Amino acid sequence: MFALGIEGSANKVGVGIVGEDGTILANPRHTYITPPGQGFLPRQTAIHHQEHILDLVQQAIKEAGIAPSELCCIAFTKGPGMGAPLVSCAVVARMLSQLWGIPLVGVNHCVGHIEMGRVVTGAQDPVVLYVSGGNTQVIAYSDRRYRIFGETIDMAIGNCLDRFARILHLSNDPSPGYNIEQMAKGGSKFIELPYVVKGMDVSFSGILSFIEAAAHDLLAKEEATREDLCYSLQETLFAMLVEITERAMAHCNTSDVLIVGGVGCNLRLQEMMQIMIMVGERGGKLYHIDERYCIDNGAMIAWPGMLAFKQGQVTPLEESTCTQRYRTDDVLVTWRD
Amino acid sequence: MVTVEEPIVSTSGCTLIGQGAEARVWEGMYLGQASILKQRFSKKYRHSTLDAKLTVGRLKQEVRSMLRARKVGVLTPVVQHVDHEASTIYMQKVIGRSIKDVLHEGSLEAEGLKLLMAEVGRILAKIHDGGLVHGDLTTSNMMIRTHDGALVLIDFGLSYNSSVPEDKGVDLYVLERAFTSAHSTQGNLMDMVLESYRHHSSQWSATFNKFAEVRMRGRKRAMLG
Amino acid sequence: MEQVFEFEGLCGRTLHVWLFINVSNSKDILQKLIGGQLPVECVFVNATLVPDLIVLRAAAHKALTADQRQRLKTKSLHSEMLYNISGSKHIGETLKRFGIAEGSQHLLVARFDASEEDAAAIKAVVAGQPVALEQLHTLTDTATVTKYYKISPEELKIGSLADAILCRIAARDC
Repeated sequence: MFALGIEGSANKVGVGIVGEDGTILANPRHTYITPPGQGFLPRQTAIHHQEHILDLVQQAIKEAGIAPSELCCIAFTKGPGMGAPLVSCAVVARMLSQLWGIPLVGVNHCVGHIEMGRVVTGAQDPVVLYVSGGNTQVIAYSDRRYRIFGETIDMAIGNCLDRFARILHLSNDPSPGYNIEQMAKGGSKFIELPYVVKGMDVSFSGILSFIEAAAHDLLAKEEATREDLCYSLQETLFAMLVEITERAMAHCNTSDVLIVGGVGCNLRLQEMMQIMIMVGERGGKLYHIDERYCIDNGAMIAWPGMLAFKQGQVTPLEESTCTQRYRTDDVLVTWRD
Repeated sequence: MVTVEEPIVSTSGCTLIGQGAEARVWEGMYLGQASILKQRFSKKYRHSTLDAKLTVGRLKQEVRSMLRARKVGVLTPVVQHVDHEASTIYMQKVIGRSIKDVLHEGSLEAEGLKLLMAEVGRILAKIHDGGLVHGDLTTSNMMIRTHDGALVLIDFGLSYNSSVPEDKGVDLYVLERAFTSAHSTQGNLMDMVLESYRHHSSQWSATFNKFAEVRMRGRKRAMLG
Repeated sequence: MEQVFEFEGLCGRTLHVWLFINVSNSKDILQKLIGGQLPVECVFVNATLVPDLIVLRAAAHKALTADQRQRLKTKSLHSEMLYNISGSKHIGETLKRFGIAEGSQHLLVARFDASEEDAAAIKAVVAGQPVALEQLHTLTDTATVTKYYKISPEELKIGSLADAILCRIAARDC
């Protein structure tokens, strides 16, 4: 029994096939890369996904070496995400479901990251730091929900990094965040930026406007390099993330941390989190998943699809809609105790 | 176990009672009175400049905020002593229980619960009108003093001065989320808090508008994957 | 008539305190103090501004801690203690307000680690009536205390005068 998952909530479109135990048989994807200084817009992103998705389905089936009849469900991202790209993928999911006579399962994108992270790393009940272009949340499981303990009160961390990359005109290939990380390695001077933690929540918009204003000034006077700015921004933003994660750990009395989402690929973030856990005297472990799973992909949708399907949850065709707003804690987690 | 590198001055004879995310909490004596010592420690994961700025700044702000709250008539522990070299605040021990424990126990009947939430609303209105934002409003940070049942606000570690409605709105939002994540079965506690807040704050209208905005943003934020 | 206080964590250090009322030679003491002619170093505090001995002890504790780290802000341990009492950073004003003045009637006198000879010498200096320290609170000039420390009626609803002062002493460098 296998599940096929389709993901396309942001600028990546992917199709994954997983087995009953979470084994990934195939997981091809394609990324829509925009020119430097530009973000991705819904319409163009949807067109990109439409152009690639059928090839990806065929590639996945072929790589997995299975027949469609061996699939138990077609999982698709119900949300959250950008409307047009989400719908483009859902249409294909519905089509395949009708064509092959296999039920649909709508999946929450954030839950996809969490469940993929758990199965890949073996983490049992970690505090989850979910950091991506659209989300920044600290999550812990309790009573059949992934509860959000802390989150950004304005923009997402990835969005903040992307927008700063645009200010510096960094390339979007492979991702703006990756290029900021590389630049930051060359930085040495720490520029003091605002540091905004409110309870377990964080705020980034003030930091972005501050560094945007400061950047022009500091660079013009040669008081700081572009590398210094990337370095200082990362140090500040990540310190905030590690701080709220630690606060959530203290609150939930949990010692393990799982980082998921695209920004989770950042090695400096992983390093800081590791130090926090080591020094923190809780004796926990940091789980981070490599970029194959951290970055949006089809398998992370297929796997929760499989979990839900095994609990008898399927999504009837008439309910197979998408939603741009879909909070992590809206999902009833039927497959955990 | 990791050894403690920071100097602990005169904590011999003190008992470690808690290890939070940014401080160790000890129980000891100060001039013959029961004392709670809160010792901040540096965070190795963050840049040393940032760390020093945050450790020193938060220690000072925490003390200033407690004083500010008391000045507007909101109970906090009495600050007994501040040891800057050891990043430690000594404060009078509050004999009582956290609201979190009281709620979890579920022993309060409807009327008692309403009175308690009204008191929470009243003291929040007072500190907010006094230009102070607590920054970490959870049910663990509010205590009911045993001897007279008075409500004591504790842990001002993330507090700051602000009269901006947005900041107060976020403060309330943090509390609402604490209620929903930890006490979701207790009925709508937040409504009772807000009702009382409205009565006691002269600036409730602007604060509530921002609170509603922040709430909405919280929902909209999930738009992007 | 004399009370001795010890301090947790500051082993072996003591503070001896006396209270004198109806002192008649404050002008003389002040002159000796300024001229450095007192037989032993000690601190004179305007007793009407100290509602509770805990205030004096907190100021002493703070001075000892600073001394231990060689971080005194004034010239001696005793003057540091007086400076600490006000919770203000203004040294000159503090000494003037809380220290001995020409017309001071009621005085708290304190000395660190005093010997019996020191005690006798201090008693010989002050021409006043030594009384039990329990009487201290009856001397308090509440109006002046609340004015100097800027204590609002709101604050006194939730705590004592001593609580309010303790917080200010602790918070001075914050």
